[in-house]
Amino acid sequence: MDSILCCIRGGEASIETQKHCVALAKQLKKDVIFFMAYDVEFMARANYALHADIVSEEMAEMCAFMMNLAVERALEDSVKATSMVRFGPFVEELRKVVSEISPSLVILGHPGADEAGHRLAALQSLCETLRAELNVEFRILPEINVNHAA
Amino acid sequence: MQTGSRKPLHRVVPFASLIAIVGLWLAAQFQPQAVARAQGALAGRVIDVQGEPVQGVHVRAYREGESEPIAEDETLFDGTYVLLMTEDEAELKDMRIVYERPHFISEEWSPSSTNVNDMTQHGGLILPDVTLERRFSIGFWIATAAFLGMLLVIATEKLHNTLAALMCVAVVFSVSLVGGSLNPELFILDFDQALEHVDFEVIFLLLGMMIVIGIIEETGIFQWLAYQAYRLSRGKVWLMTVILMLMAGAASALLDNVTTMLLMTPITLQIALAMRLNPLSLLMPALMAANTGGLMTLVGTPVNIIIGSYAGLGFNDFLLHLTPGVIMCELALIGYVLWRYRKEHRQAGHKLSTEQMKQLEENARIHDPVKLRKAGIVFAILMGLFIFGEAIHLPPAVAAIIGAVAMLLWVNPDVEAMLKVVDWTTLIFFIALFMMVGAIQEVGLISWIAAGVRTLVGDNPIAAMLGIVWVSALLSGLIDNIPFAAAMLPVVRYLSATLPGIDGNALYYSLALGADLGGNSSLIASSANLVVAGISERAGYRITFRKFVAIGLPATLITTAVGTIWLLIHFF
Repeated sequence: MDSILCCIRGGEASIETQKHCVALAKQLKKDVIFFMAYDVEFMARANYALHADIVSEEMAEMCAFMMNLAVERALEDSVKATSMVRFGPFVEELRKVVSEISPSLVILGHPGADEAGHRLAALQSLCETLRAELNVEFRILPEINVNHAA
Repeated sequence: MQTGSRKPLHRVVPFASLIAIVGLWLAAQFQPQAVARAQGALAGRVIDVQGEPVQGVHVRAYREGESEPIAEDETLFDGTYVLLMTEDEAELKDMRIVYERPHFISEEWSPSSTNVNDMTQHGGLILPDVTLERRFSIGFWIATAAFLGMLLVIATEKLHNTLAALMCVAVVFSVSLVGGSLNPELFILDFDQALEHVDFEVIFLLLGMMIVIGIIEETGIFQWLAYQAYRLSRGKVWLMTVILMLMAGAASALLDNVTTMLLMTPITLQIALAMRLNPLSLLMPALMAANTGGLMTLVGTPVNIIIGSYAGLGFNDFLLHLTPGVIMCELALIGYVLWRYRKEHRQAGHKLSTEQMKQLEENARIHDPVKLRKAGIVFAILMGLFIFGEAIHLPPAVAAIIGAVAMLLWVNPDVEAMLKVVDWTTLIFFIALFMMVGAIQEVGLISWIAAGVRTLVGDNPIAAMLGIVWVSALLSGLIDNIPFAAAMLPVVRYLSATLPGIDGNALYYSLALGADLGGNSSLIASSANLVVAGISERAGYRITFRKFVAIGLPATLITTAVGTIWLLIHFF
């Protein structure tokens, strides 16, 4: 498929990743598929009556909304874009999606400044593994400085 | 057909005799004075060094040189006992009475010549109060270490709360029952004693409310409320923040703050992202308002439920004595938030596109209007039962169970699905927690703390109130406020009973205020904080511990100060 898969995890830095992806897609004359995976592991910390399915549904809607914002921004830049939201661990879902749609390029954002340094090494290792496994190019963007407000 | 009074009399006499026997037995239980004088009996009371009655003391009368007791009894909840003896046995000469209870130093009493004369003259005797002093056995240290270990494990999240509590209960019982049979010094408490400490009113109130909330969750009302905050504010950021805070606070007061925030957060995030605002400028205020609002009513937080049940405080008591103060705290919180986020509020907020509006409306729609209507009716009746039930001695737990049953029968008849929603691990956590608090109560840790606090505050009730509020507020930021509040209750009861010039329940409200408001001081201080942080992180907006404290700690200090002022005005 002649598209760029842009992995999103939300946040200000992610918006910069999306802009970079859109610019690249415009340059290479490709479509963009925004991809996000979510889970509900945080519910283990809640100690009251909860419908896991309702919370999961809310999270799916939230992610879909975020993806639509990304698609709208891409369309404003005259780049054709769609989105995919999956429930489950990021690596597994990424593997499945790449196998399904066979993008020409997969873009991942640089780990945030407030995250541990080992995440970049882990991400690089992941890209190497998936590249060898799926025969698709993986690229990690350079660090983008963003103001983390509030 | 039989006539005359013969048959009724034939039935009445044995029945009356039975009543007389039962009456005499009851009199013997609760009027040791009367019994002691009527038979050869010795009666009295056992108290601890704080003047509190000691239940479960084994009282045995021995004749000198004999190992078998001639009479024995166990003290009741009020510390009283009665040793019933035959006239021959009631000869006081050469008698000694032994008072024994685990975790106390045994005492012995021997009669004086005056006692002997009194006994001979009256056939019974009221003995002076016996004071038992605490003894710190190996069991004391084990129970204390287990309880502190439980708090530490929960605070550091090494294990799930319930697993931590169950593990400590297992340690206590193993040491007590296995070790205690080898060495009495290891005994802490047994199953019967542990069960006596479990407050099943709390368990059933929580259970009932969980079912009620579980059904209301399905309606989509929380998400709808969050969207209404945007719609009513017409995009004015400061106004949207205030409305969101008021809605979160009110929902938490009546339902619970975790569910409120769990379901309002995703929609709030979407609104913030669509308006190109930093989501934390909406989420943090709503979260802090939810944590504060839960303090308003008996059912707003598990801490209030525990305190209310222990102290006999009903729904109306909280409405009368805490709600006005909490409203003051919420207003102060709104003031703080409007100042703290003034830069963000000056932003106009990006106008939502038609597509975004449509999607938000769709995400925030009421999923099941019929269910919402029915649930609303049942919920209103439930609130009515809480408010008016006190007049007919209807405990809140029973009202909650009635509400839950009404919900299950009329609103959502899928009982299995609803029972799956109940957080059984939390209920088991509470049972295990009560047992652990019971263990440290049995070994004397709570008494020791209570005595220490009493010494610190002297006869100053205001000092006691201030200490309880502020220590609770600050400690709740570091350790789970539920076990903290549960352990503090006997301390508060002791202080309330012994401090001069204090309203009987003022210190209970102080504990509730401090323990609940402390929930805003750090990320780990409340489950609602953790779930909001979890959702926010998945949306790419991470709330770090430091970030949370920077916003939450000042809010805690402000609201606790306002709450303190309310308590001073209202009670002193």
